[in-house]
Amino acid sequence: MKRKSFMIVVVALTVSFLMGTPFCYSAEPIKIAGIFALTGRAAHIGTSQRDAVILAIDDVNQKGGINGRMLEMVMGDTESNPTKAVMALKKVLESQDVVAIIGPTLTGTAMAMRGFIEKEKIPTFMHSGGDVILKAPLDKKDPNSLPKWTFKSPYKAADAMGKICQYMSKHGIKNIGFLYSNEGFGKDGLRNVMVQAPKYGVTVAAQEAFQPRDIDITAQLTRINAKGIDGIIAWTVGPAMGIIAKNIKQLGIKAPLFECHGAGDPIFWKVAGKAGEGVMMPSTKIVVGDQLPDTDIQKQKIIDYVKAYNEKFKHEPGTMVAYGADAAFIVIEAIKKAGPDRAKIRDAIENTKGYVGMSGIYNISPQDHNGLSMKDIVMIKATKGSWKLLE
Amino acid sequence: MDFSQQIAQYIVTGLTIGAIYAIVAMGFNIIHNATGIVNFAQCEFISLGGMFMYSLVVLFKVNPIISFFISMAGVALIGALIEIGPIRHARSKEIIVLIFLTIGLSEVLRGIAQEVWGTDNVGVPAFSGENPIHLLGGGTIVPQHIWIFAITVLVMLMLHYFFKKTLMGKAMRATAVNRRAAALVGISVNRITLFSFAFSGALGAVAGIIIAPISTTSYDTGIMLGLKGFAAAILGGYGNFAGAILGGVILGLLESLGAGLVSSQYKDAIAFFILLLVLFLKPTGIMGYGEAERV
Repeated sequence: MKRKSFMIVVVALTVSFLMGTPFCYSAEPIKIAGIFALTGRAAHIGTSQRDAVILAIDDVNQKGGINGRMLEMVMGDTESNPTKAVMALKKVLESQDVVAIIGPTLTGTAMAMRGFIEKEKIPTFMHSGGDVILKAPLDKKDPNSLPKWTFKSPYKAADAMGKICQYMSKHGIKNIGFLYSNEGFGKDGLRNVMVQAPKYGVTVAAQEAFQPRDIDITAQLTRINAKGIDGIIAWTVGPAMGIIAKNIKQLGIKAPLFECHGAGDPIFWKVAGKAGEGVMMPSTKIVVGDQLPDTDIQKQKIIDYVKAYNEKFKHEPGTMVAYGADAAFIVIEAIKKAGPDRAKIRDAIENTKGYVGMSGIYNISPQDHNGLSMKDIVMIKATKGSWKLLE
Repeated sequence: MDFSQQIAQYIVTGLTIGAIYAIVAMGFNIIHNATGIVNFAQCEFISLGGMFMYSLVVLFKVNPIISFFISMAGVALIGALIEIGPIRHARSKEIIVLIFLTIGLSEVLRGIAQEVWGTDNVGVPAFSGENPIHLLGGGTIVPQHIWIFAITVLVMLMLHYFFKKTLMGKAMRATAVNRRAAALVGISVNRITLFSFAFSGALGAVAGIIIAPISTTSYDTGIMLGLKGFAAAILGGYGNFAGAILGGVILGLLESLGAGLVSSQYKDAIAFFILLLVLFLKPTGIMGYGEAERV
């Protein structure tokens, strides 16, 4: 018995050793980590962002890699959970020597990972939405201790909120209800709407929270509607996007619904069905590439990328894909420029100027680790299972 | 919308959600009564019900009524297989071991479901349209809410009949009261256990199917509903059928009224605070009898 178990151990060790050893690479690959929400409630975003990154890496490798060295992604799954995110990150970092990190997907997981990343000094390009990632000080006592190694690709949620408020005031919507999911991303939205709405003369008459997994949100909507509002903003990603649209139709609320900048995704139609018709949202240009004017310098790039994405993964990319792709491309550009050195890659990322991406034109600086502005955002309207460019 | 209409809306919403919790709670109770264990795979029965329904109706374009029964039977079969396989062949019959076994099984089922259907939330068409219906006295519902009520009431009536009038139902109740005595009078306890797993599989599936058009469904949609159903079962008195209904409805109403009248941010906290309060005052739950062995 003892002998047998000893043999099993020996075989297992040999197999794991063989599998972990690269046999005959001409040059060691350059490794980057990809930390995504591959399972859990944000899995639909995480998996498509993973695909976006894979596409970018394949693109580089097909062209011969970086100075003859292939790029390789080591993946970790956050399970859409902040604790698991940190565990996944540590696991990847302990086993592999990575030069940069791409991800994670959710703001909550990003906040959990941030401190560790700053301590380990690894350049990280996140594609999570919340602005707190860049704005909240690392040390609560020192307001100037902002992240040095962390960047994020989605435009600032504050700008997305500003875009909605601007659109509302232009179309005579003055009194709104704000509905948010009771977690990192939703609360970030709440802080933003309180700042942005007054700038455009819009009043937030009611604010209500819901749990991301709630199956019915009529109670909150009833309460909001009782305040006599003429517009609703719902700040969430996931199934609640559809449930809110359906509940609004059920209650017969006439006020138009605006959703967040993550809603412009094929998943929206899966969860909302016909009730999704007419919902408006800020978005990256990736979902309306062919509707852009020919003068737009992003147009051709977006059309080419969408075509490649479609061919490889057999479905349309959503607005979130743009964030994954931009994060990956900017990091790759930085590695090309700086070589596989963490500190140099960080500096190269920080000096990215005028990069034409899917989400907009990036001008990253030490003061702004995002680099997009409100100009890069478009308003779109859910129309017949697809998207219509509003302005 | 005036205040009474708002209240009416909260109550209607609470009752619908409560009805779902009640069905899930029943599923927990049936297995508990037959075996004494808490079956955590109940959550997966809910997800699977929804996903089977989605596959049949949306992907294979099968008639919704036929899909309903196939999905139910399919999940019942999975429930039965769980019993015939791992539960029956577990080396240890300790309650705690079996409970952990169901947690493991639940993970396995969820993993398989994730591989099969992916991680996206998907919609299932409503049974009969989505045109809102305005109720007398305020409140608006969609036809699916009526289906949820009707099916829940029907299921409850059928369960009542089954447990009170049929031989099988009586045998199950006997087993619940005393396993050994039931075996001594010639009841096949194995068969009862098998039946209880299939039965609660079917119940979980029903919950997953009828809620899917409202909430959409995914490979792990049952976790939250399962948890709430479990809480409802405890609130009503674990193992007690009338308690399951009461617990489900109370929990649904608490959530909805809590969100509407007090604070939407703390609605779950409110509901679970009341749950704790009840358990503190009456540890066996509202309708629980209290067992002699409890110390």
